[in-house]
Amino acid sequence: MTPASDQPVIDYLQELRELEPDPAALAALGAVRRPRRVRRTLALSLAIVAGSSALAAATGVWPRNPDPIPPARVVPGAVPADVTAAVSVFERPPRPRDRSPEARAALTGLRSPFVVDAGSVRAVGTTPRAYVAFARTDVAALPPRLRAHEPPGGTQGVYVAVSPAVGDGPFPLVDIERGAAWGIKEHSAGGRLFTGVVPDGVARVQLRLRGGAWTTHPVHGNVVLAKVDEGALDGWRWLDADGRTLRRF
Amino acid sequence: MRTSDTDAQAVRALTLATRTAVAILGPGEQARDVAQDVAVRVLERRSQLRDPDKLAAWVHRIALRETLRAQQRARTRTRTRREGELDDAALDVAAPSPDQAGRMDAAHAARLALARLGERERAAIVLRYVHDLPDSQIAAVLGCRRGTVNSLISRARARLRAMPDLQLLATADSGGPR
Repeated sequence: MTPASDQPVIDYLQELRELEPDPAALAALGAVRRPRRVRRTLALSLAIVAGSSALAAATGVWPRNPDPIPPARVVPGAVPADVTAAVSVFERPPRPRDRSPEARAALTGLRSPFVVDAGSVRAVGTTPRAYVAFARTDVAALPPRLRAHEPPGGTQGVYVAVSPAVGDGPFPLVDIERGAAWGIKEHSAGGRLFTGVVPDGVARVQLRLRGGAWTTHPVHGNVVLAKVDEGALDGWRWLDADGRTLRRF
Repeated sequence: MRTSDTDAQAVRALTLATRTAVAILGPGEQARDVAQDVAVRVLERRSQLRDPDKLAAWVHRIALRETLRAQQRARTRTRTRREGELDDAALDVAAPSPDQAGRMDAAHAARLALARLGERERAAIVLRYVHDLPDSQIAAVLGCRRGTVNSLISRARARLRAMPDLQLLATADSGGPR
């Protein structure tokens, strides 16, 4: 029996049901987003690309690539003075562990189009240890149409990572100063890890958990790490070395 | 968390817009640009979306509008170049051509056929067959009644069946006339 003559059109349309976005489009999308959201976008992009259908590969509509978004490159650069003035961990002289393989591995969670300033990496805390670095968008690598969405000089800020899977940022200085530089990620050791970057002067932070309980956590090198239950965070506040509340969020 | 929701929304928007743009414009730079523009618009205007359940309909509306505009711009450019002549090239869709086996490129032929439909017919058929939406959701995207959706899709398919290029293609796919 001869098929309906519109069947080729219907077949063509139905074959597109599993089509996934171009990996480059996903990466570029990440670059135009609010900085503290970029890392999650790229992680999501990678997950989606990894799970993309055989259709895309079979049809060649978009080339399939198992690792389409490379880690952020490490490039020479300097942390801006206004950032070091508020986040003085970058002024601390470098130590060997700042340049350890563990540091490099942790920072691979940050992906292109970001680049990391080579001299900015600092290890902070002990268990778990985190790494902070100053990162910026490689504006020249962006397509011109997406460059228009970037602020002058590109998106830049402080990236903090515990491992490739647990990292957040880059947080611009303005977000750090207004208490918006934080995120929560699943931790490989189990549970969820709160990761925050705070300006100088904040010695501890208190996290308000749902139900009203407070937990207190020390700040190491402008970074605070704390285990939190799923969806339990309700707010936080900054304390100085004397325990006085500096700000509430 | 709200941030994660927003991330998922952006990726979802890019995915839906990519499928719509490729269906109508074909794979390539133009479809990629449209999909990116749609995703960026969704990011920029996400605060206007009060009901997350309506995200998909919202994205579909923007994606269709931007894709059809891109197609219209391409047509206008070609019309200008050809001083008003409207033919397959003016539709900015490559005309079907025989491949080595003597068959037409099915995807090109399909896009050419879609380009000959009315805009609302094209939108309805893409929403139904690419995005697998039921009548109620297509009606929500197009801002019409369910009955109108049925009518649009029936009319679109009838028009497709009347296109001689597609009749040749369907015959070739089935191994020749029987």
